[in-house]
Amino acid sequence: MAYERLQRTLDQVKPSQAQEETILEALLAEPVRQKKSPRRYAAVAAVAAMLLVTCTVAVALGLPVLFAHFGGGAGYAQSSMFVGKSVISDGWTMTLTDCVGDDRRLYLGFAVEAPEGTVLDEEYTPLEYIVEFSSGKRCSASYWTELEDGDPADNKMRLALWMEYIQYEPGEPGLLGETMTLRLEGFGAYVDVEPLDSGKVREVRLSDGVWDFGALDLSLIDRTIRMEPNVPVAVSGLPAVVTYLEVSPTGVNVWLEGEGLRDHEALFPWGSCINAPEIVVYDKAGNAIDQGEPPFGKRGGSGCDSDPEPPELPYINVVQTYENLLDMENLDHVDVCGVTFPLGE
Amino acid sequence: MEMDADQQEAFAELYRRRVGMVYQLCLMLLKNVSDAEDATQTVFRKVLERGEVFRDLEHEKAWCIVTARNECKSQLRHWWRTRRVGEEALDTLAWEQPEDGALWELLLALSQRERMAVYLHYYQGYDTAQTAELLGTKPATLRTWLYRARGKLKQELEVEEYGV
Repeated sequence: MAYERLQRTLDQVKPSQAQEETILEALLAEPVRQKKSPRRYAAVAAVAAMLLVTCTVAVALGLPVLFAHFGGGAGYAQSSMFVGKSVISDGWTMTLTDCVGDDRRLYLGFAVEAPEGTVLDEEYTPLEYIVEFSSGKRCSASYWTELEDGDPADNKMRLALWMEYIQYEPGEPGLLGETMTLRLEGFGAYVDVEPLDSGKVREVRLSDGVWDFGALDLSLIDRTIRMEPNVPVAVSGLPAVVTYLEVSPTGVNVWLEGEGLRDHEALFPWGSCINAPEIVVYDKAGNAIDQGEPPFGKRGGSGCDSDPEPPELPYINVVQTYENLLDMENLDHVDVCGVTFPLGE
Repeated sequence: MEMDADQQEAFAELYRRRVGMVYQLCLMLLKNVSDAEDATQTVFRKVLERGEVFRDLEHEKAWCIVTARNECKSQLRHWWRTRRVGEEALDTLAWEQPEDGALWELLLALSQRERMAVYLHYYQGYDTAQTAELLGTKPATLRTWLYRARGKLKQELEVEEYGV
């Protein structure tokens, strides 16, 4: 009987006992970060308010962290927001100095000052960080790095939190205009435990502080150039149409679609299709802009060579990012697969 | 946040109750064992992060289905993810009878929505209204997907058994 046949087949598709146990073990080993309901969150915030001293200050810890990191410049000036909000907890002052980015990527700069005598000579970061956006959007990737530190043996350090939000559909709105809430919990590091291939880490906790920055409106100016050119190009000989093109301060986002891309996996195995389209951005002096070493890698994307839903056509989505913030007023054009798209006035 | 022993036990019970279904769904949609394992882990991490008790077992089951489907859709469109072939999935499954493997291959060849529709309606036993709701579509559209899927599975199944 057909029903029994389907039942029997699918009954055989199941994880092995070992797979089941491995996944469960990994889940139970992870720290759980529960989403807080508004009511519970309010209660936590009320308690936190009693424990914390929050103040907005002009940063006394030197230049805003990301200003110093990016070296100022026109790109930074166009796409940045000074914040200067300090939160003190457990004797530690955490200052969110500035924020830069666009709809797709958001970078936050922090100056950390530990109690006198603390030596911040390792790559310490907040142990937990909870970032929420008013619409419920969630960043697909985020991580911390330590930035330039004048004196590695003192009680101060400068950190950046790099966040990325994926665009799943062409033109889908991103992070600008959102209100972001930010809360950091604990400070220290996770250190690898020998043997290194065990994958186990040990927590080194320097502080149990809780730094609740509350709500921050992401009122960065939207500098992104968006277009729906519907211009035909050839991707390594395959006909496609550039249906959506976005150039933002942190990168270029191109959607190529068309029947010509059906079964393109045969030509570009293992998703190498995202490396196929050549994308070059030029400034007004005619120079090709160097990508440098962007926080989330030089290129990403996705592709589907059959049966996408939606869109109805096979596609390649390529995102090419840049280490430095693009000076949006000095861009001339972008070439996609040899076809020029003007970016100026 | 650390779970106490009772919470761990309750979670492990839920996990064992649903892991087969979640993994099945993830493997069926992602067509790759390691991706399916990752997605399964993510779905149950979301259960933990949710931090709320499900209304009943049906709510729990439906929540796991929708979350697994969304997670797979998200993975399929992931920034850095590139499509992978399904050979790993096919190689690692051992079939009681060879024709079961052939049917599985045909299932994987269906579109994602057809696969989901067949799985939820014919395997999980949801009626068309419930299946449509889980997939966020109208019952009439769902019936079209099922109709097309049956057509594609015709060579392997006696499809007349499957009235909608």
